[in-house]
Amino acid sequence: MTTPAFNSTDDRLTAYALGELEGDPRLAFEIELANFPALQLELAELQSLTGLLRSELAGEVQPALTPAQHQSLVAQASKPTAVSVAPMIATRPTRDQSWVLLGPGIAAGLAIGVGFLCYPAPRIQTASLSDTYSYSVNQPADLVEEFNDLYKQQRFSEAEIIAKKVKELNPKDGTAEALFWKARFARRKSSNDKLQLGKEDSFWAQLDDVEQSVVVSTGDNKPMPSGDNWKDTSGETKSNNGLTLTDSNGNGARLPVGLSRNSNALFEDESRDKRYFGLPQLATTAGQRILVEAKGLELGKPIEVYTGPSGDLLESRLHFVESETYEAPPENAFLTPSQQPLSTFSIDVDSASYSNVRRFLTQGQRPPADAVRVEEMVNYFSYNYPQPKGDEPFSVTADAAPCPWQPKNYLARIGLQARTIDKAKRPPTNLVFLLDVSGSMQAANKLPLVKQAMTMLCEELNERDRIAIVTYAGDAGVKLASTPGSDQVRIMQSIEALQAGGSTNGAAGINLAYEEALRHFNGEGENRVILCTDGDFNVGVSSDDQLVELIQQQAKTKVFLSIFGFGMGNLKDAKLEKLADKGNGHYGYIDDLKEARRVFNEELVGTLYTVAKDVKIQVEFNPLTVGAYRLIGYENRTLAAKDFNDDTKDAGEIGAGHTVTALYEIAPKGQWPITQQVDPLKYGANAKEAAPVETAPKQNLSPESADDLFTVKLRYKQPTADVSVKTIDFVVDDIVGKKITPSPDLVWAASVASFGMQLRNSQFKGNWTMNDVYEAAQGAKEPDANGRRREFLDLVQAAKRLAPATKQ
Amino acid sequence: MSSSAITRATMHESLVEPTHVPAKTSEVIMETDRAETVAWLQAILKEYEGPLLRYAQRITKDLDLARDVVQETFLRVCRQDRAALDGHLARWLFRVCRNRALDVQRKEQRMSVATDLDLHTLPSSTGPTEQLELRETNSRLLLLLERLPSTQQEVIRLKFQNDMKYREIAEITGQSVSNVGFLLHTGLKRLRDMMKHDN
Repeated sequence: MTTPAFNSTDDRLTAYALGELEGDPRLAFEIELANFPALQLELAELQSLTGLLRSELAGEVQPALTPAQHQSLVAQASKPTAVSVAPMIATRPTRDQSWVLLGPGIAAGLAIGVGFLCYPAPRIQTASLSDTYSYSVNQPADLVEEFNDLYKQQRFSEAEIIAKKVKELNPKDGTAEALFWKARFARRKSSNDKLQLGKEDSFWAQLDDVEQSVVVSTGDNKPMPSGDNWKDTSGETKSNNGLTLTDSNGNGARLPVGLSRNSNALFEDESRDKRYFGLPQLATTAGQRILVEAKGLELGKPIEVYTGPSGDLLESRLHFVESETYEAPPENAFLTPSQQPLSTFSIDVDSASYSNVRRFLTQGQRPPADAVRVEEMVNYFSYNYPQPKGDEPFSVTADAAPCPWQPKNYLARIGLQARTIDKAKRPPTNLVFLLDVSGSMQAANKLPLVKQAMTMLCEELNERDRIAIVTYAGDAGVKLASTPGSDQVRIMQSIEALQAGGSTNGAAGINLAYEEALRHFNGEGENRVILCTDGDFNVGVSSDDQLVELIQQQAKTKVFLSIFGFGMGNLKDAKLEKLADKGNGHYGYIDDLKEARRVFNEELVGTLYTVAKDVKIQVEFNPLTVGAYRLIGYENRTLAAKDFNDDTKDAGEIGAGHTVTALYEIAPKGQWPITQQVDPLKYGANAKEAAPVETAPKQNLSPESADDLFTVKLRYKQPTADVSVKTIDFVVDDIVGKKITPSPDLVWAASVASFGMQLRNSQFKGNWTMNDVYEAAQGAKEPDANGRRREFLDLVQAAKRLAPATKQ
Repeated sequence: MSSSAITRATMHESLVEPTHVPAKTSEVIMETDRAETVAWLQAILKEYEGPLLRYAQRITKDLDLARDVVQETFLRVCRQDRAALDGHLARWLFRVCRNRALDVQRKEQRMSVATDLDLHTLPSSTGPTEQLELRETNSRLLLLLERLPSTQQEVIRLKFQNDMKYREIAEITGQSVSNVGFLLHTGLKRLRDMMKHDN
């Protein structure tokens, strides 16, 4: 024996000394022992220590139970049947802070002595609370008991509410205050922990993706493969460095070369929820662990799985499937006012695209071009527009300045500022949460995030509000029938109880949710269905068109719809946007708790309270000053000119406090290249206008309008009206020859727009680079109350580091 | 356990020979049973009350809480099928006692966090004095033992104070046998190192 097999971390020595080593190991150890004097020395030392420990520890005091406890025990043991729990003899009921630990009876008795009933206990303010929820006695002791139970079960948000009640009863009691903060901190901590775990998961998933991205080619219009899809197998893959194919014993496993890279490993022609079970099912059939190899995967190519010693073909119909889908109409092109003087579109207050783009960039991936909707990026930020005057639901601002990425052109901006509503004065809301609790929502950044977001929102509700929770997964169900917002405990309990599992039947859920909303329709308030999903509707009504139709029908009920996309990997961006659009709604993407707070809590009022609906903008460009114009973004919001006055045509809603910004790039007269023009018109009053060299003013144009650039017209309905009430006209003058310094807000909007266009690799992106965006934005980032602008600058930096976009 | 073996034997006899038992057979059996239970309880109290209390007190850091814990442990054992406990009564008692003590201790810890926030308004009546009770022994070795992580202390005590096998310790503490071996080894190793430094 040349090298000692023993070192100080070898616990065999201790086991040997304590007589725990037996059989062969013992013999082997004894041989080592005989060979190493050092080991013998250690053993001797150890044995003397254990002897010492035995005698010293034996001398430690052995306390005894109290005589009363002895008696009680004996009494219990001699009862006929040993069943019921004996009343505990409280050995120490008098420590004054310890009241929180005691049972209701004792604590109530004690309470008088300690004095927290000395304060006149106010009635719980909201009648509904004590009526609808069964706290028979709202006594501090009972509540504290309840608090302890909830806390023990880690139901912190409910515990927090209980603590709040204790505080209401004993406003001056420091312990109540302590309880409250304890629950609140615990809740925050636990939610942070959960998020942290979620982040770690997705980080690992992304690491997997890096390997993935090397072998799987994804075009511009396809998203990068999402790590989320690794989920079911990632644990195994990770532990084996991602590439192991053998079973744990390293034998008998000629297992798969390249199963589908995602857990969506799809059994062809079977319902989609099978995807999730594809791998485990296979593994069971094969009786082996199946691990996924990143190599050799190709989109759409069947993957063959072999198993067993004979290498039988087990399954060859597994496919690599893409899960995120995006679709987008082509970008708006330059139009000439002589051909199309009117540009008409619906407003869009969505900001989902920005959050989604942020998700990609922070993960070090370039977002697929179609996931970038420039107007949603611009509208993610709020701008400093004046508040509307009087009863107007919103104010309109319009201006123009030189276009930063195309200096010969102008950049025109139209800004809407909706009236802000004091949170305290907001109208009552009747909310129905429609939650996707299908299996795909299990990820930490999905249902758990939804639950947290809901918790935050529910804290803002009061007795005038109502909230209901409807879920869909397999069969849809009402998890919480419409409940007053003041009944926080019941609401929180329902939220806590939500769990993901099963397949998705979106359609049935939508019907149920609208039914629930209509049952408690509040004529004076805001009625809204809030759909939280990763967009994977797959049972029942399944085609997008059918879903859209369903939503359109429901939208006639004057119940608004908000859709929030959660998580990644399964996100059906285009579908969700379309649904929100058709359902008089709003679509947001929530990628983390910060965003959830922004959308659900900070913007609660804005998102939920609509000040005007079907808001349409029509801009008439003056052919005398404008050579061509291009609406930046809003591709899926453009309307035909005649739709502007058609009240049956649906358009976007604007919520309290929201701002909406639209940008036009304008090529002034003379700048527009002739080659891009169509042939001059031969007939009609406008015929001469189309001629590229035409400069004569139109006959019926008043002189003061001759140097207008454009006129903005707006049309909208009051939230519950069917007829448009008003149009607003706003004229912007030509800026030719004028020295215009753009406002910081306009520079900011321009930077964001350019950023979006560059990410899309738009043909109209002009000569700006990410550096220009960064510099311009840097100079315009104030004020930045909520930190969003600083975050944007980080995103620009992240985008700079990525490979430049390839030509589309 | 020997006492439970006696119980079983007694019960058996009375069932086999019913003719010897006059009239209200079942009641008498129950009487006997109850008496047996009390006798059994007193026997195990004698054997385990001290060790369990010492063990629970280590966890709860409070004698009164430990007493509650142990009382409940004994109550529970009375409700168990004694025959089923045969041969592993000690393990059962220690495990139940441990779980209960941990529950109590966790609760207590949380409460003390809550009350810490307003110490200035509610001066604490417990504290250092009670803590001192725990360490009335002035043995140098035991003081050093106190400096080990609580997990190591626990297995060392179970081993040397209660003479448990690795397997029993594993069962009581809910760990794997090899982990128990490792904890013991590391704990003892550190103790030896500390003693050398101490000298």
